[in-house]
Amino acid sequence: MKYPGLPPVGADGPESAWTRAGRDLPAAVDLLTREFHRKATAVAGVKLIEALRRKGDWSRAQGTVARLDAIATSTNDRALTHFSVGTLRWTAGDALGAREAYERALVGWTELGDAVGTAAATVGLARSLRLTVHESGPQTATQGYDLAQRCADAHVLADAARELSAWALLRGDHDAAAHHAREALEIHEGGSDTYLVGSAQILLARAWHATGNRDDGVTMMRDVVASARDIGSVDLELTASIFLGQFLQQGVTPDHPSWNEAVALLSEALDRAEDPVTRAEILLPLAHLWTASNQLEQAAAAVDEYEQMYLLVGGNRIAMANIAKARARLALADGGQFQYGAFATLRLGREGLRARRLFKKAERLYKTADLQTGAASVRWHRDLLATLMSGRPQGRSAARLPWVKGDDPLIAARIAFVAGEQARLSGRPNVASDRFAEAETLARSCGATQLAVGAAARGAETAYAQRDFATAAASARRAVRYTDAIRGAVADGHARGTFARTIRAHYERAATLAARMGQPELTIEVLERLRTERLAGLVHQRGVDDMPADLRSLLDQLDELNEEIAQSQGSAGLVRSALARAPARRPAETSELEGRRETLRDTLRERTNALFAHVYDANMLDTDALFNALTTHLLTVCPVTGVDGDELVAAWRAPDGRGGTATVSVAEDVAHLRDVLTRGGLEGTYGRIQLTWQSLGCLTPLLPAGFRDELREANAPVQVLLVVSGWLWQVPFAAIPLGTATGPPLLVDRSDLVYAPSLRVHHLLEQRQHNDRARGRSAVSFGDPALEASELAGLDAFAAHTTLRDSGEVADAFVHGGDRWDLGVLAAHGDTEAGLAQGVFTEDGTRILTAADFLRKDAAPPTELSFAICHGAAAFGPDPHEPLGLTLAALSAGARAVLSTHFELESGLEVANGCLERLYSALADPARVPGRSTGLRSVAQQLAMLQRQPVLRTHPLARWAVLCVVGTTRSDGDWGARSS
Amino acid sequence: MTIELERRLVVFDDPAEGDLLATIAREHGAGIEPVRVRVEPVTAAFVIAAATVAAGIVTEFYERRQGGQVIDLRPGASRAVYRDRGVTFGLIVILTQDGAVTVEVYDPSNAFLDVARDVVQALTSIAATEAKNAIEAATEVTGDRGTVTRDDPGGSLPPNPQNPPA
Repeated sequence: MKYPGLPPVGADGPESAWTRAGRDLPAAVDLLTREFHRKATAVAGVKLIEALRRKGDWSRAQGTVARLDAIATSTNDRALTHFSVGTLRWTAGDALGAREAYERALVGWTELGDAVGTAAATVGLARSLRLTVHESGPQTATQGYDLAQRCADAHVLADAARELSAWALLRGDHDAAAHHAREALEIHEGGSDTYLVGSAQILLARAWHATGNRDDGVTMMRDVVASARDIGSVDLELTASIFLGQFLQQGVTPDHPSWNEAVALLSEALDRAEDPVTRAEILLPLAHLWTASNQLEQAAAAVDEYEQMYLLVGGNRIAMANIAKARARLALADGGQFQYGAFATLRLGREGLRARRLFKKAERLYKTADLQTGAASVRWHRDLLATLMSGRPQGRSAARLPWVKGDDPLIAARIAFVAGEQARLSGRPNVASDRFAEAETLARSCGATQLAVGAAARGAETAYAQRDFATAAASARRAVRYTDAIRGAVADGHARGTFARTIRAHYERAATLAARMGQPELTIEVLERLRTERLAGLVHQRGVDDMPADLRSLLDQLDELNEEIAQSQGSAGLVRSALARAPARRPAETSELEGRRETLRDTLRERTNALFAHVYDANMLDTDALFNALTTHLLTVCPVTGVDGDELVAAWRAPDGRGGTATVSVAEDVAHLRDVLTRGGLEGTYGRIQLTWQSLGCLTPLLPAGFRDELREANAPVQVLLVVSGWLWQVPFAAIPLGTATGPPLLVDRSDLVYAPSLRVHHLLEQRQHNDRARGRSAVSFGDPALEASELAGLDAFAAHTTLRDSGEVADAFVHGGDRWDLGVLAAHGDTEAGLAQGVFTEDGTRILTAADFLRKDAAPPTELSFAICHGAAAFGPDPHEPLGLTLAALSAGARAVLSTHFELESGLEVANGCLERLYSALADPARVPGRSTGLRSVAQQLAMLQRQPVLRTHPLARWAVLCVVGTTRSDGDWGARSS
Repeated sequence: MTIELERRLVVFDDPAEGDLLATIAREHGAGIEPVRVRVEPVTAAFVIAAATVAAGIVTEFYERRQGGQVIDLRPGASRAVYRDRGVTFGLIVILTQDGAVTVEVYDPSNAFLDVARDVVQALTSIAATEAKNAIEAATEVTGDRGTVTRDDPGGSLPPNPQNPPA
């Protein structure tokens, strides 16, 4: 700033303290402090205050102001003091205080007829008005500029030019902004005040950046940050860092280095910023960055604080418009929408409507504030949103951004994307493909990966519509890989979970496209990427150090409530129990208990998700490595929800790389089957226990034709890894007929089936080191005395068999008994609780084992487990693609193969018991001891052999096909061979 | 020729009904399979029989578990004709203002519904309220399909809603 009556900084000799204020602020402050102590004049005080302000020592500057009151006695000194106070208050974001001080200065210098002072104070007044974007600001700034020209003081003129430049930036007149910034810069460069040179450069960089010269803008802003650090000016460094952060954050996603640099710059600046305006200007770009990384709670909090900061200084329409725009983007993200869409058409849900309303509000506010570029930018977003949501070209603004003159790749990518979408919707696919390709390349070049996702996905849809499947598949693969790059770069676990929910619909659509195009490996890859990684991470990390206390407490509360509900319902409780004979409660009491249980379950789901999100992050997917390691047939099946309704997507891959795909609409018979499999209560139980293999005939088309042919023609059963998700965990695939409704063979007749929640989890399980103990087979078992668990007799064939009598010993044996037993067998009741709460109960309602028990770092269960309970493998939870339950938790803890159940195990006729007894007996074969010989059978092979008995075809699925093996496809022999 | 057997699930209101289903199935030369699941308590069983037989067994089970027929002829009775699980299937109990009359159907599986229907029609058409009229009407329509007897006159009747016992 030009202080009237004082020489410009740098003009009074190279060694003066005042000159140092332009190039070495710590030294300047030191010298000026001594000078002020020595002279105690208003001029000395003002110089010190300015040096302190520049240095960023605002509280000390404020303290010095207090001393000036007693010193400044002349009119000029008082005006100078007021001017100094005004500038200090402006720096602190105190609009009213600054305006009042500048007005007093103006009065003083007008009274004295000081033209330079009058001009400087008028410019100061315009500066204070800019804090609230007051409507009289531009006129005042122009007036200040005119006065500066008339008084012929180049330095005041430079200040006035900077002020005009700042106002021009506010209203989007970037040419004028650049012109006045250059005008000021030329004057400042003629002196030796690095601070003011930097101030002018900031304005010029902003103008460049806004008109599309991103690189030049960023480079200049980096230079200013460097020179600010060089001269020790925190004030200049903060300002430049904030704008640099704003520049870097535009359009970038966390997978780009600019995202991290912007977050680091802005976070550091936030720690140092004291005044509300500065904090606000840091918070807004941070909110945008966090929105891009799906850290939505942080982003929302930042927008809220931004609003509070501006309200604190009186508020302004531009800030309010910024808030509306930021909240619109948040609403879109909150609703699971990508800003540019992707595979799925944006849904106009509650959040979409909110986003549309907020964008509209932002546009109105920008217009009211006369910020035409802001209004046009929002208009562009509104038209883009409308186009993406409606599936029709909307508005004209999206085709161009009139103020952009440079070759900013982000802007160019946006324009190309919209042009592509409009061409696609107008029936010009070739143009659309070109534009999308252009948008994708440009977006990638500037780190706007979300835009690249949108462009690649739309490109895939366009190519698919033209039946150019090779291009469509390549584009789809790029789209999901870009998306995963963003997800992988999100460091915050909770945000990764949120992001996984956001991408779900898009990946499901991509998987459907890939399956329809007959691309099995792409389908498998996309379906694999649908997983949130937490299970793979869980298996990789083997448990948590300590279960959070609140989670443990939730599980205990749920347990108690279940018991209470069982008591309250008499014979219709959760488990058959002695409690059931207690007097029944009134329905109202039971209803209240059930309400509490639902609330508790919701909390538990939320907390479980949060826990996994924070703890388990698997390595990123390397599909090629997974495929290369695969020695069995792979069948991945997944329920998806798309624009055409619910579907099932399947992809088969043979060990030699051949494959096929299938899609089945969830309608009629399949919808009925899903309903039966997922219905709750006794009605659901009665529906499921009546299912027969004929009930699964509707799923035959889900097995790709090539896969069925392969199995029908095979000489011996082939090994099949089944990767399933969602409600398909409740489907006994073993009993799906291979020929449409013509009867056996069933899938299990020609294959040994092993289930896994994902290819990655299976891969990790296969890689686990085997506990190669050189002694006979041993088993441990617990059978609920109230059940007819005759199958446990099969365990007598083991060299050593420990029968647990006390249910209290079960958890320890099954979670930590790996060093004592090879096989652990449970015959009890299972429940349908979600996630960690899923567990095993005895008839009297005692919980003896839960999924949560397995999540301990020191867990070491027997390598083979059998949960002869209901629903053991049917994991329930909020994430349809990666549910967690008892069986999967046991695998994560170290079990290699878990015999479990898809739904109710019906043991009334001893068919299931007979199967299990023979299975246990076969598993006792000493030849299965690792390393003893090769060619031995895995649990899955043994089970499949039993399930191939023709007599079972006459029985309901609940007696035989409900049994399944989750885990690895390897037999002990394989493990022995591997370990040797 | 292979007879295709069918498995039909029958859900009980009471575990004791399993015995009734087993009896009916046995009468038809069929069998039942108990149902036990290792989750929630269920009270059900599968009937195994040829398709047509199974359907008949299930129908009969649901019919027979409704119990016998009660015809309340007493003035002011809130319900005149109803099935009562407390009354053995095969019996028709006629409550009159001066005592109870019982019709025992010889072949309840095949004839109960027909006899009950005939007795109801006969009694309602003569608007009888006394035991002797009921015996006459019931005997006439029952014929050789069952026997009609008057219960011990000193025996107790269910309370008449209009004339509760003092």
